[in-house]
Amino acid sequence: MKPITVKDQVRLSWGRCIGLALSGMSYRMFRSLITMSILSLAVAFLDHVLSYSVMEQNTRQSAFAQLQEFRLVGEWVTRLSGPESVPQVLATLADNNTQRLAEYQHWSNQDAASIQQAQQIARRLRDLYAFFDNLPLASRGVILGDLDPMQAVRQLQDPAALQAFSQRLSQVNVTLPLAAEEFTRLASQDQPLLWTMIEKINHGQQQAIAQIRAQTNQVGPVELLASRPAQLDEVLRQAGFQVDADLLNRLQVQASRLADLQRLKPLIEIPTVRAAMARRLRINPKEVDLPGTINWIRGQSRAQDLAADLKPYTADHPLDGPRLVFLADSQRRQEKLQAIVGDEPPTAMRGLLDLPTRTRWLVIVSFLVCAIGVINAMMMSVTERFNEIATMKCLGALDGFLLQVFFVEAIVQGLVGGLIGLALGFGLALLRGWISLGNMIFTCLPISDILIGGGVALGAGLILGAVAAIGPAWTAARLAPMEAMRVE
Amino acid sequence: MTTLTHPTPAQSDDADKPIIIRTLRLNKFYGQGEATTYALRGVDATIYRGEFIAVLGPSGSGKSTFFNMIGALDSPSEGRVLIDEVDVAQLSASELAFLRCQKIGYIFQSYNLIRYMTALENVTVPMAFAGVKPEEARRRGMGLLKMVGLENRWSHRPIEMSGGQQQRVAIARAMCNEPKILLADEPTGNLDLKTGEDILNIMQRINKERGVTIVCATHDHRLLNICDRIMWIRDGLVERIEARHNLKITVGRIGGEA
Ligand SMILES: Nc1ncnc2c1ncn2[C@@H]1O[C@H](COP(=O)(O)OP(=O)(O)OP(=O)(O)O)[C@@H](O)[C@H]1O
Ligand SMILES: [Mg+2]
Repeated sequence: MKPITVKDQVRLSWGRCIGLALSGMSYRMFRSLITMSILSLAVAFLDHVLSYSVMEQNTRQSAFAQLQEFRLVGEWVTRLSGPESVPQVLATLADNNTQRLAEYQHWSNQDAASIQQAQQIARRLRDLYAFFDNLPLASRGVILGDLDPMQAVRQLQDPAALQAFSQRLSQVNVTLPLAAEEFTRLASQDQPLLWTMIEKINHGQQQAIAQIRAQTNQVGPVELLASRPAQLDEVLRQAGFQVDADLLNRLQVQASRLADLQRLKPLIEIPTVRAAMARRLRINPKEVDLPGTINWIRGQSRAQDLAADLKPYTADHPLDGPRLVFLADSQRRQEKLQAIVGDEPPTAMRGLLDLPTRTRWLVIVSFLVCAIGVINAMMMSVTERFNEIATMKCLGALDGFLLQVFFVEAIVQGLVGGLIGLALGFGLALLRGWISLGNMIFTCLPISDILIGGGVALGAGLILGAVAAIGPAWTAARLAPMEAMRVE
Repeated sequence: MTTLTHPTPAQSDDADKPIIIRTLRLNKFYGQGEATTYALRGVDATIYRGEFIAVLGPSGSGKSTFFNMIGALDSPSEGRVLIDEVDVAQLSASELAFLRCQKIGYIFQSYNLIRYMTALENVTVPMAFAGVKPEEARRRGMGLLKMVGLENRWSHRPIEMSGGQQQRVAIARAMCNEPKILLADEPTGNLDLKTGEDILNIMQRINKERGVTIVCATHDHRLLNICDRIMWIRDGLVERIEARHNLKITVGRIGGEA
């Protein structure tokens, strides 16, 4: 009979392993806290970048949309003042905006097929212009001279000019984005069609505007939209403008604001008003101007004061307190929105999974930072325990059990650190957004994108952490105990 | 395959005793090339079941390395280790873990206690690995700590204990799964006379009463009074093995021993 019968070692339950992992962590509380804080910082960094980019994107988009409301009236005033410029019509045709197209069809008095044809041509021309615009300056100079692409291509309707153009083209090594005969057809046959169409549209619009003026006592567009005489809706529709009651309501509000602004301008030039304003602002009367005055109007009481000053000069149509407040508030809002949007219009709504290129790089870099942070923290916390792993192996721990313990530790630390990191990162993003974009950040939080971002950051922390912990633990557990003991 | 330079068990006067550990041409070297250190250079040793064997040798002679080999804690560079005639190299990872956990007890020269565990927890770790229920393990662990005189220190961490106290925790841990073989690497090195004697008494008792095979490296000459055989190691080679009764050593007395 053998005294030593070798069997398989007992497999321990997950409960045992969680117990050991947790007690180990609480013994090494300080070290665990350090690991978790590094982890949470890494996750916070990633989450901050992710949430801030979607927040910024969303806020800018929302601000841009709100700004459109202010711009709308300007757009309509231009539209009701005279025919649109040729590039504008060209762009609208290429863009396929049904309402504008319906207007064009009305003004040009053509059938839908011709409009569609014009659209096709407009699009091809637009692509061609873009191609020329993107050429290197040197070759562009040779081909186009000083002209802009539109003027240059327009000249090609003349066969002689086309010939000369082809020669210039062969001098530089440039291939057009479309075949030679196609290009010739576009330049010499299609182009004239489009220009005629645009002329017709312009002419039609001109006539429509004249018709409206005749029917509405010749008032200017701002005043017309602001006063909105009873028959205005019908008159506009008859002239071919695509309007509805809702649009005209909105236009009326904004147009009266514009009208008030225009009326206020000469009013503050009046010496008594100017003197009163100068006293309030504590500045020299010569320095009183429109922006300063509007900026001063905050709240009803100030507005009432100014309204009282203005009263003698606005007897027929008073500029009362509420109107002034509305004027000033709108002005400020517009400025604020403009500041949020910045110079470039925001890109179309894309969300977290399709960030703009600049932000994507930021995300990739912060992901790397997060990865390095997490991997480093976790690997450190495991490699400094090779001795312990070796000792446990000497005492009969199974490799799998040791891996389980480290896995549980990594998950627990990852979860705790990661959740703290998420809170930190989101809070930071919110704070930064609030500082740079103002209160508006809170009204348009892209919740689902923020949640996805949080998930990505937490998931990255957890998975990287687990891999980084299991890797070295596995290396150590595979070795013979005394070999592992020697690794340092 | 292997020609043994030492007398084979069959020819020796111990032929009738059953063998528990046998090493064949055991070699161990660390590093490679110029830097190679030869820790063991062809050790053939036989350890019989139930015996108490003392391993003597100067520092650096390869005692600890020999312990690691026969305890299945490290793999030999060459040669084989047979425990109960089973080649250790053939055991699976799980069987090795079972062997280390439940059949062999180790007292390491450097104790190898787990830093962040209390004395009691250190003692119960191998029991946990063996699947003993936590309450039962605590009960047995307290008993073992009492045996080594540390029942009042059960909640102390290794850094809060003296070298000798840590050594005693290591001894208690080695015994906790009632191993068949006890490998002790200088178990009394850090102990005062009295405690050292207590420990030697305990070892003698478990050797005699429970038939545990004990291999013990030591410089403590009192041990020579209670062991059955003595093995001298020098420069990674077994210099000689002698039964104690063939030697004329009497260094004091061990309490209780005649
Ligand atoms: N990890 C290692 N790398 C290189 N050489 C080693 C290693 N471990 C031990 N050695 C060498 O192997 C030889 C035997 O070492 P070992 O620890 O077995 O000696 P020992 O007999 O236990 O000594 P002591 O009585 O001092 O504990 C020594 O020369 C030592 O330098
Ligand atoms: Mg040693």
